[in-house]
Amino acid sequence: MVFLPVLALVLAPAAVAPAADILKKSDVAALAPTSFRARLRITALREPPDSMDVEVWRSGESKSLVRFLGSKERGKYLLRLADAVWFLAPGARKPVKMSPAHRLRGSASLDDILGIHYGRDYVIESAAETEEAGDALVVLDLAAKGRRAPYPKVRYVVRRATERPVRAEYLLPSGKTSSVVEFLEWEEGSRPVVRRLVLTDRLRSGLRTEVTLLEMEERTIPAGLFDLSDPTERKKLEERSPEE
Amino acid sequence: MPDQGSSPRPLVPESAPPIFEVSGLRKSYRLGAVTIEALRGVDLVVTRGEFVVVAGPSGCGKTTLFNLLGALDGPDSGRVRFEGSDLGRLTAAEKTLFLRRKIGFVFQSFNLIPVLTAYENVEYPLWIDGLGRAERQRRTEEVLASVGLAGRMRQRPDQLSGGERQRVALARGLVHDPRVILADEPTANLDSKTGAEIVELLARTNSLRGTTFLIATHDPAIIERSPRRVRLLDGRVVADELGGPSRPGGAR
Amino acid sequence: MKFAVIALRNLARSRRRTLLSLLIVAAGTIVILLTAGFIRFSFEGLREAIIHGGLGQIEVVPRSDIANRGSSAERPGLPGLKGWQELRNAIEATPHVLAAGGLVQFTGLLSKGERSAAVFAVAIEPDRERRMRFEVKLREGADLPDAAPSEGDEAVLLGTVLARNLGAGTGDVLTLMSLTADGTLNALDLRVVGLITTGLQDVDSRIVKMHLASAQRLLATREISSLIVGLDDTSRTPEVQAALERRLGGREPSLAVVDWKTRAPFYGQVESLYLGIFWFLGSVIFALVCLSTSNTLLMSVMERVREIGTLLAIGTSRAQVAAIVLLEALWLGVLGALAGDLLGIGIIAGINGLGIQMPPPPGATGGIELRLTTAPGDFAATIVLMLVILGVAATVPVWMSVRLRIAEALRHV
Repeated sequence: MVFLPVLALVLAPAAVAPAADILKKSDVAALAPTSFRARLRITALREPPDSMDVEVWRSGESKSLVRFLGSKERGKYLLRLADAVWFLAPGARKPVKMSPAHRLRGSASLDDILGIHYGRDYVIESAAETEEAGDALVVLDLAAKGRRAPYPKVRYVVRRATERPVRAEYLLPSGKTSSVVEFLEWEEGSRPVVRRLVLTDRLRSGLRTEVTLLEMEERTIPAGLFDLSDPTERKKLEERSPEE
Repeated sequence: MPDQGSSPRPLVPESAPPIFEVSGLRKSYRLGAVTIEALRGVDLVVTRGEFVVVAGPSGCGKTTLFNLLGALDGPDSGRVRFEGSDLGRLTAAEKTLFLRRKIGFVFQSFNLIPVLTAYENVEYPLWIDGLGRAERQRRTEEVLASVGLAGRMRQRPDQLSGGERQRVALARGLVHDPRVILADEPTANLDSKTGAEIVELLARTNSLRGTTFLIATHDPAIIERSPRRVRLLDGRVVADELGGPSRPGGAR
Repeated sequence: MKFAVIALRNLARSRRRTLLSLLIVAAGTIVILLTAGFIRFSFEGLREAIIHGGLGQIEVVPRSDIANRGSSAERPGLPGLKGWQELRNAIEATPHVLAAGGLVQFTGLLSKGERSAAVFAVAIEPDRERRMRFEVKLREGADLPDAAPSEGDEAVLLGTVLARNLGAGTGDVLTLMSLTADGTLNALDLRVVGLITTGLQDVDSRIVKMHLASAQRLLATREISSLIVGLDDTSRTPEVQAALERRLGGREPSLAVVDWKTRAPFYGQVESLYLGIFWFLGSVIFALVCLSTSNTLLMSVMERVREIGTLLAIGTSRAQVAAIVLLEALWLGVLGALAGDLLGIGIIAGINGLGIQMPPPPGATGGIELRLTTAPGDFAATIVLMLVILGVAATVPVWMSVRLRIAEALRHV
């Protein structure tokens, strides 16, 4: 009788090892370029559809700047430094501390836009193989490792053949699904870069929000962009590429 | 003790219209737990203008008889006829008018309304009958003068002597010019001198106005003077005789 | 000489008993006057506090917003009233309207350094609020300046509890973050010029008040949520409401003209509660006065049985006897009520002169001075009430007196 748990322990690593491997290979956030600039369009799919464009500057794992595009949004940013998120606006002299769960548009939060580090922030609780419409899928049940993780539980579904995520279901501690992200289109190339994803809010309105990648550019980024107190770099950015 | 069958025959003066015709009157009433048979078959005829004294010891039924005559109560059996009409058949409204117009009461204890002045007490029966102000005033003053109280009109009863009060009561009984005055022991609460004055008043009124008087009393002064005496004993008429020094009023 | 005079004289017979009865009736009258005065004081106080606290007598708002009120629609109550200046001019031309002020209401996040709090923001026009005689209960600092603030110089008033929670005071600069009309984020620096209280603890922990222009800047809109209309006399509300509905009907989008009572259902509940208490108390007084006077009336009838018999014997009709007894009761009612009214006026004046401080009702901060109010109708009403009570009290005595049998009554001692 005491045999079985021991057996499970012996076998489990064998099962887990490929699972961890799958996770690592499909972790979009981890596999993204270290520093890049991207433009995204976030559209709340309601009647009428409601969209906005943002520009994301990312440097390493812990520094991201989201710039709101549009003439009315000039000078507004969301700056993420490690776990803290700050909102910068021309009307406020000091940055305002914010929750990363804040929804930018529709059901898309900052975490959803910037990407969740599944490998870093979650631990695999269980793994299973399944099939959907002739596709072999790996379903990983992930649990949050620490406070950094935006959702307590995730059901992460990866296509075995492409080693790319199909969808991720974010669960509440009770097991109920709060939202689902479906990874619909991918960029050409070996690096897994999401071109289009759709988030569905299951808890409240069933609202679907689409995030589309408009352009992406790997490049070095001046550190000054991420300076919380000094807006100089950001001002230069605004002057260099003003929006209509 | 004469029983029902052999009571003295009532005296009926001929060719005089009867004002009261009483036949076979019986009445009992309860006093606490006791039932008292006050009248055990009374027959009586009174003609217009007569001055009749009803005498008898206390408890003989005088007051009860007067109550029935005055329609203040109804008999258990028998009948009271007033000017030919059966009093028992009157409606409440007819009875009220009867009391207002045809009968005048003079009570032993005067029964004046304490909150009204002498004048107002006397005026009262005219007032409730709806007489006009001027007419009321005339008649009230006249009757008060006739009982000798002209100067004491504005006094309330508690400011008047016994004799004065009785005069007021008499005036009240007369003011509406009733057919009959029923006076129950009118001199019982008065001293002999005052009593005599009152009796004089009663007699004079009878002869001057022709009002029929029935007086219940055991005052010998009245009994003596009365032309007709009816005696009651234990609820029955035991005697009904003419007598007395004069026959004021009445008809032969 | 009328029966009324006889009745009055009868009352005078037993002075002490009549005086006692009058005292009872007067006392009942006084209690009713005082209670009515207190209730009116409470109503008026509450009503005027609600109205002059910022609600105004009337609100003009897009009809579609009413449906959304109180719901958790994704972005409720966005400023949606366009072309409102012209609308405001039309409203201010209506008789009895003191002024109409633009109002923007929204929710946001107010932060001071690391601390932040969810707030409910109310943005108004200070000069209009003053014309509408609205009260700003300042606990510290000064009111918002009348002039629209220039960019970068926005002023804000904080609720006292909110200020305490944030550790903020007059002079501090805080940042208010909210969603604009487009649904994007925006933030604005605001300088605290003063602290206010609404009288309700819960509201004081969430309220911020600013100039209309500041809110419009933050929300990036030229529209407002609604127009608050202030009148010179609250009792004119129905007629002004009707006048505005006539004037503004047929506009697109459709506008609703809402009175203050609808917007403060709480007031209606308080009103019902108080009226319920008043009726209950009135019934108790009714019963007490009725029973005690009925007893004395009955006693006085019982004492006059022979007298009543005499009256009947000399031709008074039963109806007339009933009238005398009833009139005695009614005299007690009228005279007692008059005495009570006069004494009541004096007592009320005395109480008002004392300047008693009433403790604050639950949830409110600060008490108010007690001032009982009377309306001219009160005195007539108490007289009528006491007449009715005494009329009821007279039923048994009247019935007994009418039932008397004359011969029995005359036999009575």
